[in-house]
Amino acid sequence: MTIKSRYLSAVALICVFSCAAVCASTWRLGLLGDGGALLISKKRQPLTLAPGLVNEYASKNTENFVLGGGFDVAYDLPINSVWHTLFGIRGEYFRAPDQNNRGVVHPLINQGGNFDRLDYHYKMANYLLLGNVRWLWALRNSVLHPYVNMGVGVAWDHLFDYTEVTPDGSTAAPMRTPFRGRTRSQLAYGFGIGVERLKKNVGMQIGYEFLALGRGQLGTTSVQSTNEVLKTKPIYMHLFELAFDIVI
Amino acid sequence: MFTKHNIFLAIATSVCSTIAWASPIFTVTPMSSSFSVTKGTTAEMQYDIRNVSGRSLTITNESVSQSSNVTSDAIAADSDCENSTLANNADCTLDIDVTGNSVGSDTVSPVVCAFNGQLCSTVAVGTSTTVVPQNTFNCATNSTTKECRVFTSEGTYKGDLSEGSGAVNTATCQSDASGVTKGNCICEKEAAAQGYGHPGHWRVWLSTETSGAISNIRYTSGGSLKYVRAGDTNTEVAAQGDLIGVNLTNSIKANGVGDFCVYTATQGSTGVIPGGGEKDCNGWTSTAAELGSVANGNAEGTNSIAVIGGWSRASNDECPGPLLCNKNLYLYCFEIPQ
Repeated sequence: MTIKSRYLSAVALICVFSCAAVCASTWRLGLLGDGGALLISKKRQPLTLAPGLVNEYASKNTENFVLGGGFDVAYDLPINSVWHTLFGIRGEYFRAPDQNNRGVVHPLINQGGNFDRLDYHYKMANYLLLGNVRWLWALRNSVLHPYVNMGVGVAWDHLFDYTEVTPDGSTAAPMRTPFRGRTRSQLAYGFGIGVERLKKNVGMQIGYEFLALGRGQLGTTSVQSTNEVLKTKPIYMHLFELAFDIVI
Repeated sequence: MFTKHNIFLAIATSVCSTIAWASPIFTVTPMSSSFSVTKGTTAEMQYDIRNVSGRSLTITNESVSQSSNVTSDAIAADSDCENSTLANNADCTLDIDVTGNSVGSDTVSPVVCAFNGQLCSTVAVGTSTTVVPQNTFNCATNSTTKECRVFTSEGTYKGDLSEGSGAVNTATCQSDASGVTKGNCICEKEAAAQGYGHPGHWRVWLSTETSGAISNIRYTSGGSLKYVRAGDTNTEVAAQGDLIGVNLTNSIKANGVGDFCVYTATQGSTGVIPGGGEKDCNGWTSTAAELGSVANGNAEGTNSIAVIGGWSRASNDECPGPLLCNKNLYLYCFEIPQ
C-alpha cells in the first residue's frame, strides 16, 4: 500500500467514524406507488408455426399508462452530516390496462399473397426486484432533500391472454389454440431523481424514475410444431413515483 | 405540363399501386342466403368451401360460432370437407346440422381451418338463421278445435296487390294471378318467407263485391276454428268460433310494432262491404286514386268486424282516410283447415 493510499484510507475512516458519532445509521421500511408511461416500440416478426405456415405479427407501438406498487427496504448509511447513501432492495408489481399490447396478424406470408388479416392483443404484468442505491443530499435549513438513485436487478415479464379478433370485413378467423402465456426473467435496471421530505421518523419521496425491464415473450401454442414465439421489443417505463418510508 | 386530367391519373395510379386488396385463404359461401329451422328440430345448412390460398391445404378443423337461439356445433358426418386436402381453387361442401333451441333469429358463422387450427377462415357476413315456432298448431287435424294461425304480411301491397315496400318476391303471383287469387298467392309466399310452413293452406283476408273474405279463409261462425298469432302461437287472437261478431281476444299484430293499416274491404256480419268496386279496388285489380274510400283494417285493433273502428274496418282516426287504391298497405293472411 502506497503512502498516498494509506493517507486516503485514514481520511475515509476518520470521516466515517466522525460521522458515526453524530449521524447514526438507520433502516428504512417503505411503501411506494407509481404511475406513468409504458413504452414498447413496434416490431414486425415472422413466426413459423408449422412447416409451410409462416405468419407475420406486426405489433403496434405500445404507449400506455401503467400503474405500479411495491415496497422497499433500505439501510441508510450517512457519509457525513450532509450526504447519505441508502442501500436497499425494492420489489414492485406493474400492470398496464388490459389489451394494451396490440398488433396485426398477416397470415401465410410465405405464400406471397396479401391475405385477410387479424387483429391481436395480449395482456402484460411485470414483477421487479432491484438492488437499489440512493444518494441523498440532506441540505441544511431545507425541508426538501434532493436525491439520485440507481438500481439493477431482475424483472419477470409476464405476457398472457393472447387473443385474436377478426376485424370488420376480414374473413380470417382466430387460431383455435392461442399462444400460451409465459413469464420471462430479464435483466432490469433503472435510475431516478427526486426530493425527500423527512419529518421525525417518516420520509416522503416524490420523483421521476426510468425503468428498463427487458423483453417479454409469449409461449407457444399446444399445436405448434416449432418453438418460435412472439417477442416484444425492450419494455421501458417513465414513472412518477411517490414513496413513504418509516425510519427505524 | 400538368392538366387536371393528368393530375387525376397520377393520383389514381399512385393510390392503386399502394393499395393491395386482401383476399381470403378459404372462401366460405352459404348455399342459401337465409335459413330457417323449426324449434326443437335439426336441419342441415350447407356451405361451399373453396381454397384460394394459392397452394394445397388440408382442412383439419371445422366449427360454427355459438349462439343462443340455435345450436350449430355439430358438423354433419356426410360433410365432404372432413379432412379434405384441397388443391388451389378446389372446393368442397360443408354440411352443418343446425338445431333450433328457441324462437328467434341468430347469425351462423362457420369456421374452417388448416394446419391443425392455426390458419382459419370464416364468412365475411354470417348467415341469418331463424328459428320458427314448433308446429304445435293443429289446423290441419280433424280434432274438435282446430287451432289455425294468422299474421300480418311483412310487406305492403297496392290496391291491385302489386308489391309495395318490403314485399316478399311475388313475381309468380304477379304474373299468374289477379284479384283475391293473387292475394292468396302472396300469403303463401309470405308464410314461406317467415317459415310458417303448411304450404297451400294460407289465404288472404280480402272481400270483393261478390265474395267475402270469410268464405275465402273457410271460416264458419261457431265452428271448430280458433286463431293464434303465427309468430307467437301462445297468443290467442280469436277463441273457437269467435272470429266474427265478437271482439278478438288479442290483436292480430302486436301493438307498437310498425304500421298497422291493412286492406280488407270486409265489414259487418256478412263480411262483405256493400258498394262493390268502389270499395275493393275493382276486385283488387286497380291502383286508381279516384275510386273513393277503400275499406281497411287496423291490425292492432280488437273490436269486432261488425263495427267501424275494429280489426277489419278501421276508423278514420286509426287509418286516416281517404285510403285509396294507390296506397301501400298490409294484408291479413289466415291459415285454412284441410
